Amino acid sequence: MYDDLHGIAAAALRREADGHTLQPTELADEAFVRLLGQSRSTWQNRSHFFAVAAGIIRRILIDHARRRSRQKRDHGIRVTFDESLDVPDQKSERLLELVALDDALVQLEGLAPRQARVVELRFFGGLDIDQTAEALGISPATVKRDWTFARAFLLDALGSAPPDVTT
Amino acid sequence: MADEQLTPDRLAALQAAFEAALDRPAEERTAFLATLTDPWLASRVAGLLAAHERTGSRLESPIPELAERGLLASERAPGDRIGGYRIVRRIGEGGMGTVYEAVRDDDQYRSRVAIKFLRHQATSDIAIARFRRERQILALLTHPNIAVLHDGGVTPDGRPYFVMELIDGLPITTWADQRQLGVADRLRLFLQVAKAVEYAHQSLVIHRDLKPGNILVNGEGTVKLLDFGIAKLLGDVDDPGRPPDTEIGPRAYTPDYASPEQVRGLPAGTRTDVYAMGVVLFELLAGVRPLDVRGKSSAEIERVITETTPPRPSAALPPGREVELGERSAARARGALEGDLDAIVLMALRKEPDRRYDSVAELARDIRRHLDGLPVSARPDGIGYRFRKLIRRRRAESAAIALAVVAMIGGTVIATIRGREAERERARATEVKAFLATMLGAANPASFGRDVTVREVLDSAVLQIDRVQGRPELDAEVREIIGGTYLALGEFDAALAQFERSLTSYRAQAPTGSRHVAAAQARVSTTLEYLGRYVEADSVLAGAIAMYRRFADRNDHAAVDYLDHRARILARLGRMDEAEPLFREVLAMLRASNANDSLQAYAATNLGVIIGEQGRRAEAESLLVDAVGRARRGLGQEHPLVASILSPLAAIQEWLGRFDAADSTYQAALAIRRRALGPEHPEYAWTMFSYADFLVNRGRPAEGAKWAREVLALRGRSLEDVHPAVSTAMSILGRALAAQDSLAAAEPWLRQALAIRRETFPPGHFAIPSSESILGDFLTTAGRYGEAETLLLSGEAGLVTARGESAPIVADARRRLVRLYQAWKRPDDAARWQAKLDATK
Repeated sequence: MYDDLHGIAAAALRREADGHTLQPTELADEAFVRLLGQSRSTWQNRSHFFAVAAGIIRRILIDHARRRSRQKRDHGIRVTFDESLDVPDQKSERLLELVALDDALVQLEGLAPRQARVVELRFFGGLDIDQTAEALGISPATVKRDWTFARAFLLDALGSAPPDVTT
Repeated sequence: MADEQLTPDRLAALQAAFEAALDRPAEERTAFLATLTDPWLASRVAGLLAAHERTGSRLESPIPELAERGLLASERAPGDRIGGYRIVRRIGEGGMGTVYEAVRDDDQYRSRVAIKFLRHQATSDIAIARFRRERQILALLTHPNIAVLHDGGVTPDGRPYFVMELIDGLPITTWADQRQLGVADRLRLFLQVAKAVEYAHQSLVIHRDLKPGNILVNGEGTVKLLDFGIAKLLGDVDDPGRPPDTEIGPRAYTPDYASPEQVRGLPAGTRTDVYAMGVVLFELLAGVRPLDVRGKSSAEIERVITETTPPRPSAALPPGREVELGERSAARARGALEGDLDAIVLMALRKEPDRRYDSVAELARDIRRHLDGLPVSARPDGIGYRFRKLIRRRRAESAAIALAVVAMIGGTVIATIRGREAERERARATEVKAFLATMLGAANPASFGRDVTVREVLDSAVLQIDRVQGRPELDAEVREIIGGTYLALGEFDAALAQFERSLTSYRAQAPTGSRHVAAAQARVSTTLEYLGRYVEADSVLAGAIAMYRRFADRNDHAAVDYLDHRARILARLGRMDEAEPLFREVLAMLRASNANDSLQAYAATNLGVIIGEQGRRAEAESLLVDAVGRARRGLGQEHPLVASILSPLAAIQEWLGRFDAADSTYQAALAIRRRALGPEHPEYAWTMFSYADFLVNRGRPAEGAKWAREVLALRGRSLEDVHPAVSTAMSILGRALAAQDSLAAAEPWLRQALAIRRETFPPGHFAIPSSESILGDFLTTAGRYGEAETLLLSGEAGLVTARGESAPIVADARRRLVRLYQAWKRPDDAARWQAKLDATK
């Protein structure tokens, strides 16, 4: 089980593309502890377990990102040159971005819980289409459709801030 | 983002409409949207479709797109006005920001421009002022191969932007590959780049971020360079507090094309651009970049860029590259790059700026000379260079050391085994040895003496080569020799480290494999074998043999080495029946090719040992006696190989009951090994515990215990627990103590031996049941018959499984069972086991 969790943590961090300062093991330890703390949570199968863990990992990452982005702001605005560049400066941007994604996802959860769950499992849990389908008890085709829609919805939400240039 | 009109129902309708639109071909979607009666729905679906386009059709994590959007604090939309320009559409994302197509508002010809918004905020008035001043300098750059900078400014929210000539082109690498441009045409294209960069350098502007994405080629085949000097502007904006003339900028570069000085944060100069041009030229020719920094951390990137020697372009061509280069075969493509072009590219890519081309003009001149068939100025980064450099430092010591080192290398077992191969490659080996000798000159010759200081000398040589940027083939060979010397000294971990680095260097030269790679793998395997890591050794060697069959010709002598090597590993794994035919084949091959005495001696020894292990002692003895004679003839009386034969010969003589002969053979082996290898060498340990075993068996337990303790004194030093000598010495010591009636002291050693074997030997290995049987025998002595019986039966069964009915070690186990049942007063059982024992004799 611990290995599974470690896998999720690593997958989540890969998706976060180096924008995180926790190490996979550290994250998994933290998630593991929280998981043990959930006295009533039981899981019938591997996918259900993943589903539970994905939510926990999302919370850890977002907590961490919010904390980190506050710290960054306190030190003034940092700059980013190139996303292919692995320099610490760009991580603050990614962290802010992660927080924005989470906000948008919260909005989606209120409107379309299943679609939001698909995003959570795929994005934070690192599950593929079939695993997500198994975890949620829906067909892979539905997962695919929900995923396509939810991605467009989230991107649209993230990008819809009005232009601020008037000159 | 908040949309009051969104409800769960409306969102469901939105998804349905979005999916219905997606199901239609792209060109019908606008028409479909028009059929939607709800204007809110139509506009939202349009927005989603646009977002969907940005995610592409892939079903992967949206993180790259999300990140990209997240990095942009403000998005420009068509119709927005910036300066005197109006945004028409977004063109794409660059490394530094987003690029839009725009038109000049008051321009009646509506000429198109590109506006690049930097992902970046100017934080102070000073910074903005400097940015404007620098931008004006850049605007003065007018060259047909440099995109014109029309204008630039800073938006009210502090975001710098540039207005540039709109180039409709492709990155130089893509452009050339799509057209399957030949090497000469690529070079001519590259000369356009050089002209533009040279011009900018004369105007005192350094690009700092040259890469294919900034080097576009338009439909007419004209090169256009983008973003000249912008990296430096970014630096000004980023850090307004720094003096205006320092060149130390922020790390505004693309790691793939960054020079060592850039990743170190050192000043960039014109030679920084020379380096980046070297990377671009490498990629333009080879189709891959010289160094792979993808997905690496910044620390790793810095290490790779500052330390890793790039391969020659001709050695880096990926499969199929000949098609893109318009060549008929891979060999022709390689041939087109070999020599001059390899040297030119590598000269541009040197780590130290002052060893690159002095200027872009010189780089261009070499390329033109190559195109004209004239000699070029670039020279491989040769031994001579290093030699001179090191000689300057250690002039006095080097000559003396050189002699000592060559002698030392000449004396190693490894060099002997590699005999013929080494002979064939003597010319190259001499060069490498000279280099090694020079590097070793860094050590203090006054303390150069016995093993310990040899180790010090080698360690310092390793430090030297770690620091020196060499050709990979040189690096590979030098590490091979250092590793071989470590190996001969019994410093196996150090040897393994060097052999692995050597393997890496050979692989860098031949990513798809070569006989050198196979040989390097075999050396790693040998070392693993010496470390007692037999299973790993076997799997590494299996790979080496497979590769060797692909790359070597059939008569290559190394094939014998590998067969022999694998047979030895199988033997160490206890798989004698598999090992024997391999050893026979090795010996037959050597005899057929009239190999020298020492090689034949070596092969005969191994075969003899295997045969002896299987109980055919007379045959074994004659093979070993023949072998020891050959070894003494070929190598001299005192050679370590002589001892390697004497040691098993003594065991065979012991088995044959020729105890006096065995005793003196053991002593001769011990004396040679101690003198030749030193008192901590695992081979010496091997003979020590063999002799200890002999002494215990001969009823001389006190002497046996002394030798066993000497072996165990090396535990944690030159012997790890995985080395069979450790558990074997424990077992012998336990037996010796038991024979001296120190039962309480004996038992822990026997139990520890069994525990270590269970942990370090593969399951089913005969050493484990052997240890059980020996412990059981001890328990018989101690009168604990029940415990003894369990272990003795389990040991006997395990040994039969591992070694077969007829192995001598099985007879030993049965003899112990007979002894148990006699002591236990169970004559029927004793008789039953005695019958079994007799039947197999």
